[in-house]
Amino acid sequence: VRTLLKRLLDHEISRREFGQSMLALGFSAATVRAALGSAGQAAADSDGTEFVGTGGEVLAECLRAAGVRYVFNSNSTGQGPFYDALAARPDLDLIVALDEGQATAMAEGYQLASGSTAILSLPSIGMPNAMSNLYNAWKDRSSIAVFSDGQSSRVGGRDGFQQLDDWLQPTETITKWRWQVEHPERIGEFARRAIKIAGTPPGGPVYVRLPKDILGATDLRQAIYPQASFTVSLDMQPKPEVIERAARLLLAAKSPLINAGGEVTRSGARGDLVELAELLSIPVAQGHSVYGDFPFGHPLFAGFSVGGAPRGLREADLYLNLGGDMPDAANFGLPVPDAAAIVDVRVEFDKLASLYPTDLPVAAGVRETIRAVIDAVNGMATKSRLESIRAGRLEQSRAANEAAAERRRQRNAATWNDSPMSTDRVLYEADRALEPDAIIVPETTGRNAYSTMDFGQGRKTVIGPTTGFALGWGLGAALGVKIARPDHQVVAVLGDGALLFGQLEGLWTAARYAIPILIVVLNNRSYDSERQALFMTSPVAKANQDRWKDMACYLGDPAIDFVRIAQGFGIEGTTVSRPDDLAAAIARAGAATRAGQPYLIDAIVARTGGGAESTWHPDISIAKRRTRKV
Amino acid sequence: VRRNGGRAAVFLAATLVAVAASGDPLATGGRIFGEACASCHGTGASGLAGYRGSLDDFRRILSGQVDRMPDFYGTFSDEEIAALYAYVRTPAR
Repeated sequence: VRTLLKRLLDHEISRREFGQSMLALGFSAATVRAALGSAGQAAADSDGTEFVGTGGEVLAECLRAAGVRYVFNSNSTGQGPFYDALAARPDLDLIVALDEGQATAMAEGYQLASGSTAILSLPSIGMPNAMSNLYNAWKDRSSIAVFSDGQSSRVGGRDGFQQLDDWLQPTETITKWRWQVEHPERIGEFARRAIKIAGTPPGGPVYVRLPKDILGATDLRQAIYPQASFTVSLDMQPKPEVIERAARLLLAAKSPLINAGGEVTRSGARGDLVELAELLSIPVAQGHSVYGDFPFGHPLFAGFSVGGAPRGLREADLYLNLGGDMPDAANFGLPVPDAAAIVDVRVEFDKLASLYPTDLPVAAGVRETIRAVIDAVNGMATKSRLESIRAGRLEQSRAANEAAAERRRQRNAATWNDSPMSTDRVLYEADRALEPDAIIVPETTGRNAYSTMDFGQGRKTVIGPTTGFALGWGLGAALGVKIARPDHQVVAVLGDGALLFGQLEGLWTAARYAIPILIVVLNNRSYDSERQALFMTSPVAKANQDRWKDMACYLGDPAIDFVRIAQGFGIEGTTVSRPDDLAAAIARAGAATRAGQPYLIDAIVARTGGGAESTWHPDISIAKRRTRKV
Repeated sequence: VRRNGGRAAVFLAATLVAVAASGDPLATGGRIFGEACASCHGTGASGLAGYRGSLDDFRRILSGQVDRMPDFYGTFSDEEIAALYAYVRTPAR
């Protein structure tokens, strides 16, 4: 029977011949029918299921075959056949954003929180709008399959309505792959390939353009394959000899330091990293990453490699980089000292040894490598040796973290009760009232949240800010995170400057689909970080601080009322200026989100640093320049 | 020694590295400034050259006691902080 089944599946015999052979072997007709049914399903799984329909329907069927539930979208007439297909397929949910940039941020937030490739459906003419957040997704290595419509290929190349000679070229540097489908019978092929390429680590956006006549083609006959048949498993095991050497280096090191990057979280290795760090009491620094890849509240947390120096970096004799970029001045990081041996582990292997001469490059999966190193260390060292290596390191790291927290408390004491409030006070009060396992999605420059809120093991987690740092990301990303993780409290912590970067229309999506996130606006009525940077690097300010003028950063005239804006979208909110009012505001926010509604807190916080007191801005009034008052 | 060549091509401090070994505090300060400060504060005239605060204030800034400044507490030795302070006190280069 097995031989017959194989020959049937290999198309060596027909179903009729299979049935006749089975009957000849003495099986009943019912058994033959059952066997043919099972064989038919197996054949469909390997050969695909035939489908007849429009181009839009073929695309929708491919998404179904990939297990897609959500399609993030900004509307256009060219997507009509796809919309019609979705209308008949209620298992595919269309999440509409009012702007392509926000749709893209939502898709990325969904990808970051779910780990699945996000599907983004856009108008071709909206691609320029999408590109800022596509750039962010590229920098974050987030898997997004972008499908757009386009003007009919029959009239292309004439600089006509919404035409460019090449719509793909502008996306070239921020996508892994891009293609325009020229033949409708190949829609399925390119849809599958887009999802496959986007989702193969390291991830990234891909872009497939489906002109109107392609998407609207009818009576297409195409095989729909399960996407799993095209999924590439990157279970990249490191070589045993490499692991042995890495383990020996770790055991011999007196002052090792681990740098954790985004591949840690993407490979599901956060817990494994904690286990490795605790095995030898190795301090862990957070590298350049869109995630928090190590619990910031852990006593072995050593600080950040970007924008400063993690504790122990300059004394390190072994630097173990796990799945992130090496520290570099280009990312505001202090370099690894010459004396340190470097072990660099990446699945994005073309980044290995690209900046530093590297003692041990490891092209392998981060999780697989960590597990193998743990096993090797346990195999090489006795318990007493491990205890001897650990001795003192954990206590030293814990004491340093407690001292840093105390320095921060002392620093904050002077402004703790101020109004406008200190950012740390706002986040401290929020932390006390939020769910212990809330997901924080920040789009702020400072790291106040990381040191003020509880990001201990098994506690809050952070997604963001994007490593691309193109503003206009955080609200959309938070909505995408909540869609992916509806049973977690999700909090967007946004600077006012960030929220004003084309994100306000995201409030409509939050209200339309009842996405109950809490939005905390840290409103200092300024591009505060930018002003500080401009101030401290200006020769004018250096020569005479009073002569320096804030040309472009002050946002307080007019002062923006975010609560009234939110109310315009049907979202409730409250403005808080005094620390004593924070707890009540956050309680109201919690009640709203529990009831299924988003909520916005407009927290008025102080500007800080050079030029903070200035409210001056260029006095330009076009109205006053009129000679005719119309 | 192994990595000096590679790093010289990478870090903004590259031009300062060659003189750092001389023991000259200004050279040491310049090297540290290039590695730790220049990516935010810029170099030369647009850097911190001519800084007028006290050494105590300078230590406080390096300890993350000023908003948005990274916490460099414990990163540099007293001698290195003094060298860095001397470097940023010098007139614009």
